[in-house]
Amino acid sequence: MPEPEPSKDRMSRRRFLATAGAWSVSALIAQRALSARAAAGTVTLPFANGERDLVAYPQKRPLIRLTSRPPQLETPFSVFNDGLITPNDAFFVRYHLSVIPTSIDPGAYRVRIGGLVDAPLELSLADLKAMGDPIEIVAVNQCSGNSRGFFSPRVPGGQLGNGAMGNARWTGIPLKKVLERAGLKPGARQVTFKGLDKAPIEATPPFVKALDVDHALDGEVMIAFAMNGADLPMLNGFPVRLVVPGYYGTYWVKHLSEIEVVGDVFGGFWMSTAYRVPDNPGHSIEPDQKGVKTIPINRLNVRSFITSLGESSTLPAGRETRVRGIAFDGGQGIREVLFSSDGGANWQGAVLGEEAGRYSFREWSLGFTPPQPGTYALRVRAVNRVGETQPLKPLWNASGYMRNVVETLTVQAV
Amino acid sequence: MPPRLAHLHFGSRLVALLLAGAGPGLLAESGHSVEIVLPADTVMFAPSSLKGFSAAQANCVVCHSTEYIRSQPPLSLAAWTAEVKKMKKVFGAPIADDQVEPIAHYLAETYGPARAPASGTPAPK
Repeated sequence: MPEPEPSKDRMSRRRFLATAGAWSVSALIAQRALSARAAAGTVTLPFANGERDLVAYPQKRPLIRLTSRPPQLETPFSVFNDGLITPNDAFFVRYHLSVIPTSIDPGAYRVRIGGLVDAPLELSLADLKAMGDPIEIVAVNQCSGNSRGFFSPRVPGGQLGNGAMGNARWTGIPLKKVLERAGLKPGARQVTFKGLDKAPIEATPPFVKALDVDHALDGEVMIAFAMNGADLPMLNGFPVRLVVPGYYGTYWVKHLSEIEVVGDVFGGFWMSTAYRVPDNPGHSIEPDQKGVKTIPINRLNVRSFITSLGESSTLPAGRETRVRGIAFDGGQGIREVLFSSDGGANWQGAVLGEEAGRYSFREWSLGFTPPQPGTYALRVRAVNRVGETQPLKPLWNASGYMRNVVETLTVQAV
Repeated sequence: MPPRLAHLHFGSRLVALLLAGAGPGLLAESGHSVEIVLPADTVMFAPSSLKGFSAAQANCVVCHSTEYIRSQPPLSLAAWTAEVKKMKKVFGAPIADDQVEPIAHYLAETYGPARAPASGTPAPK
């Protein structure tokens, strides 16, 4: 198995050089030391009703708690400046239904495969691991509603900042191997996935997601049993979860327990009603627009962030500061990252770090010398290998999905 | 940094394992159960003399904690009504028909535009 990514090591070392990146870390530590409550501190996300507790859940460092039941935890943004890989204990948590597993015996765990197959299977974890050589893919898992709190006009839903995303090295068995072992019958159209999490009342639609058969058989969609070389944290789907590289997190079913091959397009609530986006290139509408055709949300769009500076950071005027951050997309890979220090009037190319795979965060960096003291509106815009990029003005949809506007960070040079 | 805790069952005994210094490893392969204990859900609805307060307490928290509500943007009565109807019709919340309006009214009064802004700034354009 390939061990430490060179780019990760490089970023770890740079962490200590990026003085501007230390602001949020020290703030976090200070808040933690001050509190004797369960909450390790509080943060205020920059939108109305953005007050959140920082709470350390089992197997997790203090994360930004959106809700306690079910647990929904957001990664503090400073973590994305620590390295390209998001540590397991900092990885965001998102559940829909509140009866979640808190005790699992991996020896007794089974994954069932049924429906339109020649031989239904009931696999133990040992059976699963014996199916073939594991594969490893570094991939971003991002919540469909990441950054929903920044929508304007605001929309109901989980009011997330930018921390419902993470990049990990996933290890697992390709779903293809499992489906081939079961044998698909003629007429197989989609494959559905269900985990152990469920609702407290029977009437709530069970959380079941579906992929087309061709996608399920692409050799990359995997049943993952490890994340960054360790067990999945319980809250990230222990002992196995589906990993769908390039797709939004809604498909990455945790505590995966039931796989069913079906002959139609699956009609369950979480595919046919929820997690749908307008069927147009930007997946957007005007706020008053109604009756737009929708499709299931699918691939991540292009995003990029500055990570080494925060809002209200100060830089030395007349001296170079190395600015860096991350860029990613749904699997084409990042071709270039452009940087502007004047609100988008002029752009220059940043230097890209090594690629840990086309589904991974990609590091970018560049030297920026503010010519004189004053305010600078920093922007960063990524372009992927098929020319897709980020809009300069935010796109909008009623569910608050897929935000990917070019972000603006205002800093002071002194 | 507080230690990260995972509880492992060894036979009938529950043992807390400090993972912080253990480094990466595949616990699942050890064959032991993994158990976590979630922090208690302690956030309450804001008290009110409105009729919908007790109905909200009786219904909403069956399935989710109140941060879901508290963290929403200041939604209008129409938007809160739509949310309550969605909980009833789509998610099957056992809300009596005559409780939909009082709950929505309580939520809009308590967590709507009239709510005193605690802090935070308007969403950026």
